[in-house]
Amino acid sequence: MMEMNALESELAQRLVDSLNLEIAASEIDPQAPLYQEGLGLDSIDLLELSVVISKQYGFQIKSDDPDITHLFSSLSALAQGVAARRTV
Amino acid sequence: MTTHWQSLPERSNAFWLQTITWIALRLGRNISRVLLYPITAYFLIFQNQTLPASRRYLRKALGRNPHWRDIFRQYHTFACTLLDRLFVLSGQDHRLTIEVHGLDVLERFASHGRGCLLVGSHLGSFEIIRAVGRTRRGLRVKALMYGEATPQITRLYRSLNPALHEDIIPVGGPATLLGLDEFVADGGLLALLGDRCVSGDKRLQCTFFGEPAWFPQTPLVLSQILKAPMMLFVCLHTGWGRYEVYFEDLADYHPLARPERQSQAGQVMQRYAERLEHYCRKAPYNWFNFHDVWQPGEP
Repeated sequence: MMEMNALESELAQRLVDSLNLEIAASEIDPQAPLYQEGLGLDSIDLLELSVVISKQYGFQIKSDDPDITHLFSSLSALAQGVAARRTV
Repeated sequence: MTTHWQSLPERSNAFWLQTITWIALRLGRNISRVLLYPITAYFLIFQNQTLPASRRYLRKALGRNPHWRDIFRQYHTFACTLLDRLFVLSGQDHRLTIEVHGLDVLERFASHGRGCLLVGSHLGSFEIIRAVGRTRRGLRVKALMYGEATPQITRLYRSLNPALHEDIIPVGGPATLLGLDEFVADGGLLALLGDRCVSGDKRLQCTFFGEPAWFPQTPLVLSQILKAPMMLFVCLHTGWGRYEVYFEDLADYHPLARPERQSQAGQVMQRYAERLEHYCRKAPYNWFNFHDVWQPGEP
């Protein structure tokens, strides 16, 4: 498994805390898809995750976002998206 | 909940919608009224997989063994609401008489500029709520739709009313729900079904007509994520083209720690089940949930 960078670790911890996942943050594979197979999140979990991101990093992810598939394709992709778009 | 289990009503829904659309839009309302009887008979004879669930429900709601005419009446009422749904979708809801109770509860939220969840059901017509939303200016309603996203139904809805179609949010796909937090914070109303569990839903059992039945945790979970109170609504078909809509408070929003969600969902959904039972007794033939909600199983 690949090492996580600081932002990936931070996001992994927020994921586990906010979605009450039964997995340790350090056990999340940064390359695995977040939705369904992989981390096993559903559309309601992703809504909750987007609310957490909006609150913590100051940007909204909308359903018509052109990068949507990429953002949720892995923890690593999400971290890159947060790094590029964060306002706080 | 297998795929087969979910695909059942979709197929019959598609059949119904196509048949009734053709009749309503080509032949007019009065002829469709007459033809709804043979269509109902056809459905009972050839599309009868849902009869056991129907009998089980009617036995509870009527408090006696259902006769064939009870089952006929239930399916016929369903057909009437599908017909009326077409009039709502094609913007002809002025043809319907809709009496609304408890609108003050709804407008209280609207006056605070804060949205809420509207927890509906398979009792009566879920769709007519959109007519209410449209006739009351300033009420914006989006509806979560489960298991109705078959291509032919989606095409039919879109062709009837492209603008209204945008307010339907199909459940499924990673991104479908994103942005609902802004919509509700901005005063939008989000309608969803409180008596249907779909695969992936966390579900729990509540007492419904004296026996444990399955209900989703989704309303409480969404209420927590969107920080929105919950209201219950039903829209009962009470006669040809006539509906009675009831809104009532279901639960206020209080922030909960994550582990408390499940027990709170149990309480809220039990209250929902009791109110639903009340309305089922009031309008027993309006039950269009043709799945057996009392089926045993694991959460």
